[in-house]
Amino acid sequence: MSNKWLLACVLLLIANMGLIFGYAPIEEHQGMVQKIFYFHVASAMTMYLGFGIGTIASLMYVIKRRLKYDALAVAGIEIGVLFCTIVLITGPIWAKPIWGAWWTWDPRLTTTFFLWVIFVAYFLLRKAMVDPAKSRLYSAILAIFGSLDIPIVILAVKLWRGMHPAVLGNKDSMPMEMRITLICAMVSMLITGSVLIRLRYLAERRRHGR
Amino acid sequence: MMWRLFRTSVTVQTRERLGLIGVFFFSLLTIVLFNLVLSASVGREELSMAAIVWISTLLGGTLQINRTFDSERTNAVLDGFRLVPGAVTRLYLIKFFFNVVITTLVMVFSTAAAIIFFNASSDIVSPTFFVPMVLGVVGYCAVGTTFSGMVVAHHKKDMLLPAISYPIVLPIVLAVIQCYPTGGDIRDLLSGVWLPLVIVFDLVYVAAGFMVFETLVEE
Repeated sequence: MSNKWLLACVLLLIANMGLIFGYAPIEEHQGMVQKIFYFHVASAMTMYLGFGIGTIASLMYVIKRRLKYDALAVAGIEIGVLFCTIVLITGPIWAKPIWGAWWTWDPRLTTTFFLWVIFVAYFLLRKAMVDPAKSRLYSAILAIFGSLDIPIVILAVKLWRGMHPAVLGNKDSMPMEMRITLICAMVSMLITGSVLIRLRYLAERRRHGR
Repeated sequence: MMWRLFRTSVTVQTRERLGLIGVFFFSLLTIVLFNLVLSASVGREELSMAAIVWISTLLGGTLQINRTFDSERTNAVLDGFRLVPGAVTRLYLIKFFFNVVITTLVMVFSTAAAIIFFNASSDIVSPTFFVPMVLGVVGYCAVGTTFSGMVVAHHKKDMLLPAISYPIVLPIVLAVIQCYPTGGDIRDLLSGVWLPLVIVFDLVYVAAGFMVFETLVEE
């Protein structure tokens, strides 16, 4: 069953690649490298999905202490960290030819990086604790603390670095083909992320013997 | 014999991957910390003292927070606290307050040392210099005291505590140092954006630590 879902996701992503490289036009000023934009933005959306699910599940675990919530938290945060890493890799790859530097403390990349370190710390703490019950509870509390931090991080980084530069200029100037491709990329990545979270959740439940 | 010892050390180190990952992760966090604090002072000598003192306070404060519950580890003292209703919460508040006091003293000491070793003017010593850092210390100690309770019995707490607490406090590290270019007095700082952000962080994390600490200790 899980193989069918994974195969469906792979096919969806391949179709998405076809749209990105075959349908969406090449951006006038940035050239081919602009196509990273579709992976970058779509991964960011999926990252927020994963972290959102992980945080809510962590809160439910602290309140209810049911293993299913812990499993969902681990699944959500793990997939969130995966897509966060993709954002942090594609961002500098895109930034280097456009802005001439791998890392510029751009507001959104900086916020993403802060989220990445918070949720990597989640797994460090989880692995470090020998007692499984403590591992689950403490990592859930760290996830909640991390999620409390998110609005503060977003505000602090925006105040520090100003607004994200309009890489594509005015939104209204984005050609329809680019907009359609972006929407398809986001939908396919979100579906893929959801399937991965589901599969990871089931694997974690099996590990608990459920 | 040297070769055998070396091979044994390599084997032990590679088995303890978590420790190795933690070391590299801490190194990354330190680079970020220094960048956030020191980049504000590049080309601005008047800010470099604030940056140096703030970094020194954070690092000294980490050592203090790491030993928050050392005395309660022995002889099941924490277990005794659990038996008395409300005692654990009071313990958290006292430990948090103590950490704030000690870390603030570290900050004062660091300021004096920085003035001496960097041959800086003592004119920097003013409420405007200390208030943002003291408020930053409050937020850092709120997070650190809570997390110190988590890792108190862990054999790698020296590495683990900064690795889990620094990511949470990065925005307050940034916000405190951003208070300094403003100049002016406390009212100017309060009417800006950064000092209120520090205060919000403090309120959120003092409240969060207060609410979760009893849950942590009960496990």
